[in-house]
Amino acid sequence: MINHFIAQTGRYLAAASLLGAMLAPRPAVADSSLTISYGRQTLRLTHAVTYSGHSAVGIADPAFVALLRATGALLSWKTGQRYVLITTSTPTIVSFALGSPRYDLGPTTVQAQFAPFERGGEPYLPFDDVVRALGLAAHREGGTVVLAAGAPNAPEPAQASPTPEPLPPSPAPSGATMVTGVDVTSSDQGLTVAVAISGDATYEWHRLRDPDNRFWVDIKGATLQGPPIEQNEPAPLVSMRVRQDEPDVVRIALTLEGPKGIAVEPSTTGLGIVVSSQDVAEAPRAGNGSVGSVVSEGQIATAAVTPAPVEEPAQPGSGAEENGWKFGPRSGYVPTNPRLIVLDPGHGGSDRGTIHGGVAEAELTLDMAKRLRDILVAEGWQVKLTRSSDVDVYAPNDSAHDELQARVDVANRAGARCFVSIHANAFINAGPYGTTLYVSKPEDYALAHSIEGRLADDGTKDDGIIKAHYYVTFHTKMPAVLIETAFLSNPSDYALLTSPEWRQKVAQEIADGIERYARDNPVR
Amino acid sequence: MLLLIVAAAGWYWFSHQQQQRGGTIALYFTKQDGSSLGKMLVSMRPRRADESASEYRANLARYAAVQAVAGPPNDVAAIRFPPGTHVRSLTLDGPVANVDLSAEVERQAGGSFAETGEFKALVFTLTAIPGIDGVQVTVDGNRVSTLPGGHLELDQPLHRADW
Ligand SMILES: [Zn+2]
Repeated sequence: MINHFIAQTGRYLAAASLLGAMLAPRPAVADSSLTISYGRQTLRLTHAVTYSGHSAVGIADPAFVALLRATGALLSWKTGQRYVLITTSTPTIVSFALGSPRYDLGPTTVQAQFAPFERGGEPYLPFDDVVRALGLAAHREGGTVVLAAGAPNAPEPAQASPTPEPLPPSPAPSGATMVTGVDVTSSDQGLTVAVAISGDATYEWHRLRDPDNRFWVDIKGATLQGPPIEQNEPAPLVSMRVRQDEPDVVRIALTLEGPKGIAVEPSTTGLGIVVSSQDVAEAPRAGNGSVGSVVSEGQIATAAVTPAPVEEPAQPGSGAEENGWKFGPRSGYVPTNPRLIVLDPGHGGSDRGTIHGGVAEAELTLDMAKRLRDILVAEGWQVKLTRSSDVDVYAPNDSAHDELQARVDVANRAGARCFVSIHANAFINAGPYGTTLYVSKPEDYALAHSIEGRLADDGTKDDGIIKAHYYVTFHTKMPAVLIETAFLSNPSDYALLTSPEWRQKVAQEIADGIERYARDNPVR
Repeated sequence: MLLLIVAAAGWYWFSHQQQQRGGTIALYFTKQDGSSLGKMLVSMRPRRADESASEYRANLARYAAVQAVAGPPNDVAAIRFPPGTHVRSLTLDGPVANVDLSAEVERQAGGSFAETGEFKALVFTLTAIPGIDGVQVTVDGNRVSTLPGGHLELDQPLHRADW
């Protein structure tokens, strides 16, 4: 009870002292002007103020917005939000919090020159900190701050930065910090190396690239209690070494069995290093952070861990085979028109689809659909095209919803046996190629499998059947598939797509697949 | 009085020392095969003293969405949102995260390959946060059926089961 009373009193006093701090005269905010140059641009910041001797810039400042854009950075903030997030070009997320004197730069927490504040409804950020976070080097030439790319965006020690402002004190470890023990325990996922640390410290880790699978973490500002350790460890580790590497640096070095996933995370007792038994393809190779009250005082602790890729056993990327409901209940759909097939040439009219080398997807899809129609009709099928010329299906320049729903309506109203939408794929680089079949509903798989079986030797790679919530396959009541025939963005696929012979061959294979499907899945 | 303030500040500091560390956010990205996922763990700061649990969750979700839209470090091959795409806002509505993306998301290279991979990464990242199971995307504040010339349906929340 007395303790409770003390705690309550403490709480009030704490609140009162915080209030006092808030009411205490703040450093004056004075309008100032700041001219910056970046590349060939000279920009004048108009939302610049001086705050406790430092430059602050408002996030809506047009020149600041232009600077962000020029560096490839993006800013995210809306009225009422406390956090201003900036994504740099690397990309690193920089998170400023209004009223907080520290900010998160990717995995590390950094001291800012001052806490960002709101003025006239606009957040103002410490300009020098933003500049550093963007990876820019700054120096003054007369009244202009000259910014140049190329500085590492980690905060630099003072001598490396010619900016006139003194740099904020970094959260230096204080007191005698000891590494008091290192424990290795195994779990389902792999091994955990628990490093017990008393006091505050910062750490920095590195790993080498496969096949040299060594990893080490330096605990800085710490002394190793007891003798060095050197011992073999069970898989996925090979061995571990712990030693005083420098007078104030304890190094923990691990040799891994292979390119294993590693996560480094501060814990309440020190630092945890989780070594996954799974190999990872792209592992970050370095990171840093801090442990102790440096991170746990609560004010602004941290995103203190560098991204470490981990295996994802639960989500193997979808695909027909992994998907549970492939064998699920069939829909109760009964086609009122069992001899009718609806073909949907993707895009058209105002929507050209993807365009490469002057070739528009909308034209290719129509050509392939017409070839397919002719083959199916010759085989005795009735065929309806959602469009038979280069037009919007619903209305010229219609909305995506009206356009796609109109295509779905054609098939649903006609009670068709199945729906086949034909497309050509693209990516921002020439790498991806191949044929992919997309499905949305359980009953789509049988149709997709039958067609895939024929398309598998269409001359490009078989990229399989992928589930996705596509509008036309999802909303059609009958079995449906959207076929991305090949990639216009890949040179060899492009050569195929632009060849009439290949388009005829693909049409024939899709027709064979539909035949096969109809034979294997007779209408009751 | 000064002593009291110092004592109170000391108490305040001490009582927040034991604060739990923040959780980790799983950042998913879609590999360049178009469908398989990579995952990175990014740790999130702990809840601040002046932040309610629901604010913290919303901030966490927003941070995760910004991470997912930014993608993994540039040297990791991944399917990425079109350059300039950013999260305008994120609000939580029960189990659904409403993510408002900037109009740059409409600058797709065409083809469903990238479109599908981009949203898969966003949905898997956000739904890795406990309590979130759906993602409603808007573009520049507007509900859209699909992106212009797009394939993926966006006028209702996306779920993991959609992939
Ligand atoms: Zn298409």
